[in-house]
Amino acid sequence: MRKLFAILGALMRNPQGALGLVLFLLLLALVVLGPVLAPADPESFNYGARFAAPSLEFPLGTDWYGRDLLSRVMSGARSTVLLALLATGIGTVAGALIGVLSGYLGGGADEVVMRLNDAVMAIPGLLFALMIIAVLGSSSINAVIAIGIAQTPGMARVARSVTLQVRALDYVSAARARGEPTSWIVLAEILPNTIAPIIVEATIRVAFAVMTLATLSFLGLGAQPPSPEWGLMIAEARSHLFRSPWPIIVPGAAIALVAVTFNLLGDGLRDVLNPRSGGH
Amino acid sequence: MTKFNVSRRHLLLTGAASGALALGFSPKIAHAQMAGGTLRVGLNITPVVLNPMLTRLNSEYMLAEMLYSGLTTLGLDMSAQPDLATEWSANDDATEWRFILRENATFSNGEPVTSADVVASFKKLLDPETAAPGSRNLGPIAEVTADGDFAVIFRTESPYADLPVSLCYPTAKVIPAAIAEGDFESLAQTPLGSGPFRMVEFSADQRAVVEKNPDYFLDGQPLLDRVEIITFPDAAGAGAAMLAGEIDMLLEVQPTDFARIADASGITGLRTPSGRFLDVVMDCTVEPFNDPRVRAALAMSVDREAMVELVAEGYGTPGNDSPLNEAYRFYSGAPYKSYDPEGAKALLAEAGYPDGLSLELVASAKPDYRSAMAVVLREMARPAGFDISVKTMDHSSYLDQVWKKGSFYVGFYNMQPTEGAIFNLLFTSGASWNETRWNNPEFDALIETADRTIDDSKRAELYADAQAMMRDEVPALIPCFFDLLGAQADYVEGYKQHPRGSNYGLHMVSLGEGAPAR
Repeated sequence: MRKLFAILGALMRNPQGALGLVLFLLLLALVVLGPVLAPADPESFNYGARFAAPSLEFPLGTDWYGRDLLSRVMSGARSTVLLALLATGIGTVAGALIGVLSGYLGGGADEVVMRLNDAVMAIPGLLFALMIIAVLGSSSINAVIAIGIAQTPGMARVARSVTLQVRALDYVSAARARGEPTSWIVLAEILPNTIAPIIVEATIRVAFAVMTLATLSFLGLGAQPPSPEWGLMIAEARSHLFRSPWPIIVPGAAIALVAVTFNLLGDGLRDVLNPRSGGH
Repeated sequence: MTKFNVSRRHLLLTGAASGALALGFSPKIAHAQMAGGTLRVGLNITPVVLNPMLTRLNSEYMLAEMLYSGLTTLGLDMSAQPDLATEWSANDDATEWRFILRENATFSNGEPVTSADVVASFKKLLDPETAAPGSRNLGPIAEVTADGDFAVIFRTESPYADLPVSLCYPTAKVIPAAIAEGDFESLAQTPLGSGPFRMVEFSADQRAVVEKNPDYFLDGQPLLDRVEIITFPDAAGAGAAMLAGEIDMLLEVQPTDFARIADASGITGLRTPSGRFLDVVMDCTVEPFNDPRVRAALAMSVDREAMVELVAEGYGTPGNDSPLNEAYRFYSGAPYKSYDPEGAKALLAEAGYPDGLSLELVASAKPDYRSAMAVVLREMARPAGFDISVKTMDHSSYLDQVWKKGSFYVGFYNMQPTEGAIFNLLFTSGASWNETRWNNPEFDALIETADRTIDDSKRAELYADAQAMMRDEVPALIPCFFDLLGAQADYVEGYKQHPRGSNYGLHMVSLGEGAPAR
């Protein structure tokens, strides 16, 4: 716990990290409280106020059915950001386990796992996610699973390269000399010492997950209308683009902001968690 | 030579006088129109099926219309006009029809079109194994026989006054007898017809190119040398191409885009009232739709005027759960059902759903307003206790998995030439696309009687009863009709939007002054 506060303190002293952390906390508040705080029902129509520009009544304007865009973006934060975090979580856990195990075992096992991994990595992430969705069918949760799986090989590579460095260190040799079982060595000795780079990598990947999720929804393969998922909001707004720009600008800006937030946070964490970058 | 041409055109025109005029090409315009040039037409939904007897989409109908001919073709006023047949007559009770064929029509392989080809084509069309869409729409045809080389006789099982019109159905094309009886499958790749154009190039999902058929049987037509059909993956792209001048004509414009495109300089917007509609299909044999009260409750949960505004952007008219509107001859009006969520809620409770009802409504992604209607319906029906979740899917998966199979989805249909045609296409027990499985014998009897009735006032009564029955029982929710919307460059001449929505008449189109040279 104390270590966590030390990291947060260091993060606040880092300009990128501080900004990223503040934005992240705001985003977290929005994810938890957004639907409650939203001033209006995100799905209710206002026939009289279609395509309204921002005003006191509708701070960010309205869309083609007169739905309040502020309320839609606030309500949509939960599905968009939370699902992106979930997808990254799946990719990170699976990737870290595969990478660490493969790196620790080394030799033939490592070769087989990593070559398979490379083969999967050769397929572009979005294409891979599309393939998985084609098998699973389109829904939000399947999109999350697809993005999680698509992220796994990249994560495994990062985890493995860190493991290769850690594996050669003395405390691992000591644990092995004590006769500890492999599972113990991997989970208790190696994993905690590789966790920092993995967290940094995962943070940056959240931004990618948000965008991939938005892309899948945009293609009609993720969230279904009238969900206020941001990518879907943009996809639906496209046919009304020339009548009012607000239905596209608002969710577009929200996606950009989330991507920036997680990139800043990731950069900050990298500086703070990297023992060689000094400062503490 | 010139003299011969003129006199021959004269002959043709007198032979088919009323038809030619009704179709909108008076000899004057034909003279003023300039021949030659390449027309580029933009489409949103790509043609996939090339076989003219198996087409299902407007884009496929258009291609088939350019490459093939039928016996009759549909005039703008929904009457039958000459195509391969120049004249027809019936016996007194309309059970036997004689069609006289023109003698100058040839297939693209050079063979003349004769009565044998017509007989073989209709045999193939009516063969259940062919599974030709809309074959039931052709009418109660019992027998087709040749009467010499250039006349055919149709006998119907019952009197059928609409036969010449029903033979205009887009899949009713004439193909060579050798193909109909032999390698029918080859039409999927190699078109062989007697239409005004011939295929040059076809790549599915991208473009199709046709060129003028120099041997076309109508003198001086087609006017264009070439037509390029370009498919755009989405409506926004097609609209942008129209505005940028990359295409000369856009056959379908989304309601959301229409005002912007029609107002652009150099572009003329095309708008025609039509009986085209979106409906919400309910399978009347499965829970909960087998209870008429549930269907009636849904019908009460729709604000029809607002639906026209939100889904058709005002370019349409409200519907009353019958597939007919003012565009049809035998439309019988009734006050639009009012929006009454409270009443709907009570009706739902009575049907055994006091806590509301959760449903999944499937909507194809094309055209865009299918899912718009689903979302609007969800919102409108919410106060009545309906919890409708919307599921969108791409168009080909929809056609494969949901259309005619699902129990709750958004359908989209063109206007039909006659009342009987639309009822027999969708709502009678024996309908080609009996997707609602309503199977109401009383309704079937009304339509069948109307089909065989020649007296117009009696038919009007029968069709009025049929419409009232659909309003009461709601086999499908039909809240909104759409005007046909299109756009063309100012220099395109001779194009008339056909209210049926699946006839195009591109052989009468030409490029006028101001057309870019290509």
